[in-house]
Amino acid sequence: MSAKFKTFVTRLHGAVRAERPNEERIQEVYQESEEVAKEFNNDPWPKAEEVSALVQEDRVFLLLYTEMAFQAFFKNKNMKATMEDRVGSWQNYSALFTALIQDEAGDAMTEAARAHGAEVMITGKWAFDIIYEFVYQFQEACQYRASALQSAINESELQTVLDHKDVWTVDKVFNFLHQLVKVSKVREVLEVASLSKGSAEGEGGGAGAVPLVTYPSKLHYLLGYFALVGLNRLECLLGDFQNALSVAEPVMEESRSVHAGAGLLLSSSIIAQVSLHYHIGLSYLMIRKYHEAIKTFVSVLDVYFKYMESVKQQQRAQQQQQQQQQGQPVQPPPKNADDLAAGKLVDKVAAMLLIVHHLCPGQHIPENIRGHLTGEKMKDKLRHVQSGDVDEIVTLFVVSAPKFISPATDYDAAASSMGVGGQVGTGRGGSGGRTGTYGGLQRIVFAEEVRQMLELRKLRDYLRLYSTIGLEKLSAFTGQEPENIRRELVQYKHKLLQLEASTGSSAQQSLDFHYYLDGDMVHVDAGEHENRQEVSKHFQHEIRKLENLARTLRK
Amino acid sequence: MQPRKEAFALPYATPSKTAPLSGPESNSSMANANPGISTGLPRPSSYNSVHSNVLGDGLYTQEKVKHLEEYLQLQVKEGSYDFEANKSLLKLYLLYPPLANNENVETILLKALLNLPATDFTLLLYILPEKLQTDENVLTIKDAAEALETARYADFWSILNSRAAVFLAIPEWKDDIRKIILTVHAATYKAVDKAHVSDGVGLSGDELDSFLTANTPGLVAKVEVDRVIFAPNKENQPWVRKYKEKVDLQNMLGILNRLAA
Repeated sequence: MSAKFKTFVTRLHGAVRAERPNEERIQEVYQESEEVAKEFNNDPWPKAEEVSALVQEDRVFLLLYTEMAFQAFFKNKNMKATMEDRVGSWQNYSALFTALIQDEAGDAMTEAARAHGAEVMITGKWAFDIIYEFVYQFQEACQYRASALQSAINESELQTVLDHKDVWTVDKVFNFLHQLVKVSKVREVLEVASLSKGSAEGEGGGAGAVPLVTYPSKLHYLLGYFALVGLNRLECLLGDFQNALSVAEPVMEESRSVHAGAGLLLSSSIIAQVSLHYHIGLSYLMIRKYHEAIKTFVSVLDVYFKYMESVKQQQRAQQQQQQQQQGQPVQPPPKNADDLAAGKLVDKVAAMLLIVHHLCPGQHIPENIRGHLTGEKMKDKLRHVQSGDVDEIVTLFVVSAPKFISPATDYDAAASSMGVGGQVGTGRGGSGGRTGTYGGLQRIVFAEEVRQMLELRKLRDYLRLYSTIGLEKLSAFTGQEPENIRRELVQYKHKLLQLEASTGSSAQQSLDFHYYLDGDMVHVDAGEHENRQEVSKHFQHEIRKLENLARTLRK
Repeated sequence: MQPRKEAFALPYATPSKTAPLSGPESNSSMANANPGISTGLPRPSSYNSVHSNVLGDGLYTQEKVKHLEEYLQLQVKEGSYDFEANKSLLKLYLLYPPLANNENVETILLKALLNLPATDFTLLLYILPEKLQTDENVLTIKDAAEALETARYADFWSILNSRAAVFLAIPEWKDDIRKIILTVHAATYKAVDKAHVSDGVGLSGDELDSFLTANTPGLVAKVEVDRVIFAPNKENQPWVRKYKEKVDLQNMLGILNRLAA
């Protein structure tokens, strides 16, 4: 353990337990961890016991430290994580969360604060990283376990898995996140904030009649808040999209009411924002609330572009400064890991947006985003979507969707395959079987929906051209039997009713047109066409230009 | 036994029973999207106690399975429906495969179809336990649901007839689905040949007539010898179009002047 690392740990501890907490400072030191860790190369960080003396045995800090150590360990691609490692990480999370959950009134935290000089403070970004990593490691653990059981990587690994059946189980993971939410009272705090329309920390909400809600400690609140985000992701991964939406509702509500991210906890980390909106948009898409999905995707792309703009400006300013100081051109700094990860997610968001917009056209997308969607990077994906081929669209979806997981592990089948070393081919969380991975179910349901929507979209395109059209004529256009067209019209109505039922808004918004049948005649009512208005404006504009031109020529 | 409410008014033909939207943006409030309280079947009698005692804390523990299974049977007996509870039960089966009960899953799926056009059934499909994804009965229900969604009613009725046993879990299921199909027809058609309605609801002759009369007034306005005229509702009437011209008079006058000169 070098002196550099020792200093790092001490400085981090100092920042976390500072008497006058300074978020920027904490953030600064926290981000140094990437740098500092490089000295360890392919070794894990020193254990908590080894640094304990440096931080006066600060238990909470040591738990946080161990979490960081494990994160770094798992992120290091050169390390091969074993089940033993995962068990260790689980035990650390367990200890950290249990400490908070059992400390409902915040007494233990206050004790510790007295002993170590100040309350524990971490940044929003740090809290998000903890929770996000927690869910991510759960994902990995499930996959690891499943593949160990299926193909029996090796006997001892399999044995470790079987010995630790109670780590990384889905009910415990759920439990932890839910209890963190409960003990931190984050839901109540956010509700109060929305009622009084103040800041979300209870202080600004002194609107008199609304009672202030106090949370046990800042650490509680931060972890509870991001536990909501974690639960949102977890529910998505398990396929319960409705719950995913409802669990993140307090956070989304807050982000809608507080303007432009000022004081918004979520915006302390760009990847937190992008990730949350990505999952929310995905959930809307799977629930078939297409309009909400489009709105969500558009809003997060907007946020991300603005963020990148401001980052670029900052970098440019920094570069100029450095150039002036050094008197020669300076390389632009490399993107940090978070921005890269956010960028990758944003690509997925854009792909999803393309898909949804194709399935449910007619909603307005702002210019700058439309520009991005048709630009260089998205050209391939655009081609996939516009091909109108179900398989291509589904492939794009699978690539852009998260890796859904199968949480339950069937230990019995595995036990019988032990020693045989062959693959159990019933598609349990791994390869083999008709559906492949668990995500196969999501894919199948989605593919069916895409098929239906594409069929209906073709019909819609024809119907929009007419105010009345007979079945015979439609049949001539589409090359389908009149009876099939009739069936499709009923099917489409069914879909429209579904969209109505789920959005609670009139069909006028769900799809921009309306029709009904009288016998064999289809009567169509198209909604307001944006294009028409733009056309009239365009003509007006051109006429005026021409007039001005004629006038100047005459002079 | 709770009286069965008239559950098949078209959305917005009568005032919707969903909670009103809060504010101009409709993305907030998931209460709207809870199909259990929408224009479908009524709530079960023990709804409140189940939601506060069993589902209240949001955790997924094995002990809840028994309670939710009993609650499901209550729904079958009463003809009531609670989507959230059933979904939670299905999720518990997903998380603890040994506890999964096939018949209950089939019942849950069938119940969800009764809440069409809400998307309950699709939402359940996403969390179907793996064992059941290849179960024959579940696949039959899936096929029937697909036929229903794509308006392939002839296929739908033939599935029901050939594998009737699967759908007997809920006694009045067939009749309720029939009403839903009629609802979709009422939304699509102002008036149509009787033959099409007959294909749709799987009835003919006197049975068809009495079924249609039972839904008059409400969905059906008039039953003729070979045509059915549906009651006017939001979906099967022309919309009133509001013309909003974006060209104001001054500009137009200027342009007209030019043209006339």
